Amino acid sequence: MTQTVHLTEEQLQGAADATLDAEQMRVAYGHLATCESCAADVARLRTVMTRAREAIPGAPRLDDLWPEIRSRIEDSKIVRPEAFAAPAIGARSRRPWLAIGSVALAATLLVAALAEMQGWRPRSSDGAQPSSDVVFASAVDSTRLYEDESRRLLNDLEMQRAMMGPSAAASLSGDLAIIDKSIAEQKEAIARDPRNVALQRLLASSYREKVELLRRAANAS
Amino acid sequence: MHEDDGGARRLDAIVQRAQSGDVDAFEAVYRAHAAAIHALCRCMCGDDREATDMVQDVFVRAWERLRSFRGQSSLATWLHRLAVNVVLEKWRANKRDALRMLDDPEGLALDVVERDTDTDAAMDIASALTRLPRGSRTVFVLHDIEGYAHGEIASMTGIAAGTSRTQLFRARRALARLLRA
Repeated sequence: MTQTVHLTEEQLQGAADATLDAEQMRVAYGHLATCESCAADVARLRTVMTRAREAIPGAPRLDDLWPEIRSRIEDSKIVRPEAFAAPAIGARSRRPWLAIGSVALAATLLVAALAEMQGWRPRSSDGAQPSSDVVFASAVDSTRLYEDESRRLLNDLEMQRAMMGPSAAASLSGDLAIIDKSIAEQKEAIARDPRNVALQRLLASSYREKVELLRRAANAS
Repeated sequence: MHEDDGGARRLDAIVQRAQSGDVDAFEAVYRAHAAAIHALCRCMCGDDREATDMVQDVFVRAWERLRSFRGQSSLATWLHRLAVNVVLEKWRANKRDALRMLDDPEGLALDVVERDTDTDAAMDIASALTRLPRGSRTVFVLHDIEGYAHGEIASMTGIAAGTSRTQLFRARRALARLLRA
């Protein structure tokens, strides 16, 4: 009685995904034509591969993910005020009003500096960088989004404001006044130099600070 | 034919707008490709929650890199490759996961598969994939679903091409048992 020599695992798998070279394939197929056991094994492996390709699991609804992705994109599009004025380590979390003040001060100083530099423009774009038009459009887009969001939050907060304690309400008003003053100065500077990308980014940052302040206030009240 | 051309042109225009910084256009890209990218991440991670986090990271990275997309491949192919890289980078950043990438599939993983085949009815491919250890699952998804060669998988994951081949063979065998193929 002769013992059948079956294909090796390498040959079976290679026959299933057709990765054997021509000579190996000829040998493997010669065997498969006469061996039911190996042929069934190769068919089983092919079934697995086919089912895997055809039956990729359906995705759940992913609409809910988009706002978070958009928010992360918007965050990456603007220049954060911290880049201009790094607060003392630990000061920001303990005393947010100091951070707001330093941001506003940095913004004011930067506006003044940029106003002095009439005619200054960002470095011209090359192949690796987006064009200045694109950067400018992104900054304007960010500004508009944060401005709309801050307006909405401010409306929402009006009712809650009446229920705040006097010191909390005063603190919020003071912080808002600082940011609004910065925003007003930045808008004036932009009116004088409408295509200045750095000023647009700064304005977007200020609105973003305002949005974050209003969100903190809404969560606290 | 003409409708297809029109559709392709519209897609190109949307991609170009997104490349120019138009977030609304990028949202259209997201909506067109999110499900496929989620499916890929789900297959690789074997976990919905992790896959969902990965999808976010993939599209944020896609936004950052979109200007490097030159159209030599389709956007879907470009996004899939990006997604694979994002998932592998995330795992590498976590040393524990990185070690699991190199796990030996002969041990615990096959025990789990054997136990499942003893007690469960044949399961669907998505459930079966989650039963595989991460190393085998990753190689199987990259090779048999995404179409990467072992050499490419080796360079992407840091394992040897021979290990990739072994992982693939074991993954197929384990899946055949789980699927009652």
